[in-house]
Amino acid sequence: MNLEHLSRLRQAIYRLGAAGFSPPTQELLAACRGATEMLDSLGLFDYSFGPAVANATTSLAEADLDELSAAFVSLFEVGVSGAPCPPQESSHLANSRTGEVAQIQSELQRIYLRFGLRLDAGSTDMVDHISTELHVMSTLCGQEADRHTSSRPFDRVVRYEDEFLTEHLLRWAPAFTAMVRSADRHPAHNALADGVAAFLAHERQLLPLLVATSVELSA
Amino acid sequence: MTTILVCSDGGLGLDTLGEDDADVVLVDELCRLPRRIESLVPPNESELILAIHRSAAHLGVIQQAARRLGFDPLGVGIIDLEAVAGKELGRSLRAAVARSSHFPGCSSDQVKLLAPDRTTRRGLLSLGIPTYVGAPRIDQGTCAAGEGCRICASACPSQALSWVSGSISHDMNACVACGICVTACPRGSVHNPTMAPAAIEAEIRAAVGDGAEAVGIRFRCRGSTVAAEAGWHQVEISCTGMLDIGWLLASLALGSSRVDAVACEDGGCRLRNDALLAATWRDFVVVLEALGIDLTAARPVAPAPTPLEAGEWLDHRSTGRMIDLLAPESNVVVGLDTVAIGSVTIDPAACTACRMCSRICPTGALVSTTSDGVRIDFDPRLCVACGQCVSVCPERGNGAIAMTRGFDLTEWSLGRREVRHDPTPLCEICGGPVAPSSMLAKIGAMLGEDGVATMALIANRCVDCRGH
Repeated sequence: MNLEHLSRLRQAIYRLGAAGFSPPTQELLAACRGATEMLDSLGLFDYSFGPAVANATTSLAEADLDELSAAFVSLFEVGVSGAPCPPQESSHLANSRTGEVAQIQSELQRIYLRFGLRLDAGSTDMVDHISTELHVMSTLCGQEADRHTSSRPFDRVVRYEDEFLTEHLLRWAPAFTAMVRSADRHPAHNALADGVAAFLAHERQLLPLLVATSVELSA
Repeated sequence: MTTILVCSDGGLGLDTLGEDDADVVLVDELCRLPRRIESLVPPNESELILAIHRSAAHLGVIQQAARRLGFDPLGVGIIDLEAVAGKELGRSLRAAVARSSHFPGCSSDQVKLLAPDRTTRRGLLSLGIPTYVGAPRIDQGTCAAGEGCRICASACPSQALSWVSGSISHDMNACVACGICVTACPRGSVHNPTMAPAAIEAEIRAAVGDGAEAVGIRFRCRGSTVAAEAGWHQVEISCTGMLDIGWLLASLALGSSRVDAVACEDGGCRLRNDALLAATWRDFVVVLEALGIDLTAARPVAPAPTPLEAGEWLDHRSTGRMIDLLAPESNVVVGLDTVAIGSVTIDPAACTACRMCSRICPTGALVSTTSDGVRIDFDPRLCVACGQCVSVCPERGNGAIAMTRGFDLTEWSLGRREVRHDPTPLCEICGGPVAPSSMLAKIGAMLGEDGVATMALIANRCVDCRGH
């Protein structure tokens, strides 16, 4: 398994996570039906997170759209005192009274610009939504894969990945996935939370290796 | 059900197995082509045991195949055929089944990715199929870090554990999964799924069997390749630095005829934990001498009748329990260098009865009550010689508290006993406790003649009533 396959696999899993934590659609569920085989062809089961991610795709593929949509709203959007599992970074890390919400969001926008990314025109996605952050990582992994394909240096893009993971996703996503798991609203959301948690735990260990590898190769 | 696959390369045949091992499947070239296991394991099997030549097999590929079959790869029992004497394979298989069946399960934060070979440019371009080992996780529910305990962080040789604001933080990237934190924790709050004490105990029990045959237990570091030797069963552990005397004693108490430990060969421990094993072994020999056990004699030490349940023999309380179990009736006093058994003494002349020592004690060896003045009790069986009571004592410079490593069986026979009692004057207004009298005396001495009026107030009224 070469580095290109690995980055394509990571890109696909981040994309799965981003889609899974977005409002469910028939297209998402249909796409999940063949996802395990596609991920397997990229070496999914070589890695410790393989079974958990495969279980997530299977559970999403088998889910009923109406039930999943209802669970999505009750988990991530409404609740007597806010959503039971708020899917925004600022809900987990910021003190709303001291303006930290805006601080986190503007910092993320600056980072996205620095990475050469911006939200689609007209997008209503929040910059610190779990889905947006996973999508950013997916895009970076895609850029990394393209560099492997064309044998160009990839040290800068893996440094971006490492920086974004360490300073943002890993600071709150593990707690968020644990909340989803303990809320236990829908088997597909439970499986998705398990899969993303296992994948991110692996990313925490993998990225330093990739950074070191990219530095050695560019030397 | 359990599937057992044995690589037949190297001339191994079914004649090496007993009648009980009829469900064993011999597989040609299992080491060279480990993906074959995917087609050999029936569905819905609960356990998988593989006997392979470790040096010839790619563990990452085996783990991949196990994942595909629905097994947790860290729960698959792996027997290194190079470490098993030919006629003793059956015993090793039974031991592996026992250990595997006690695998406690593994969460995603207990999996450590081993760095792949990056010594060649080709190695850099391809990470290959990765290999994983079990890593520790702290049970925050039982961890004593909130009370100030940081024994695991002090013991960690790679600085992967740190005490931060009353909890233990684990840096997986720095962790080398040596397992030292597992045995260092005085509360058994550090869990490594592949080094679960109950699973290792089960393996030892199965290897020793009913004691009819003399079997020695040899703890072997994961990184070493010790040649097989008849009469010895090798128990693989993360690193011999994690061994404590309790595990060595428990092996004898469970009926092994001998016990041994082997670190990585060829230049010593890769993790540089040789000194830990050397110190543990030195103390182990001292304890054996004190208990009258001859380690060099190949004779079984019969398990004594004991109230201990299976699964408790190697847990965090094992050292004290095993000494209790194996001790002769005579009085034995032993001083030791490193062993996690200690005794605490308190000097009433210097102690101010602030109770800091009992508050930080992670095992409950020191406990205090305030119903009748301040009373501090000590149970030497529970003391793990962590020294935190000494380090936290504000009067340690005056010799208020001292800890010595070792044990005195006469002291043990007394059980929990009072080591400090300080009467507490009662508040003249509400009748509640004011402060320990020795603490008041110390404050009075510090204030001197200038503080007579102040002392008259604080010595007679509690904190709540001093403003009245």
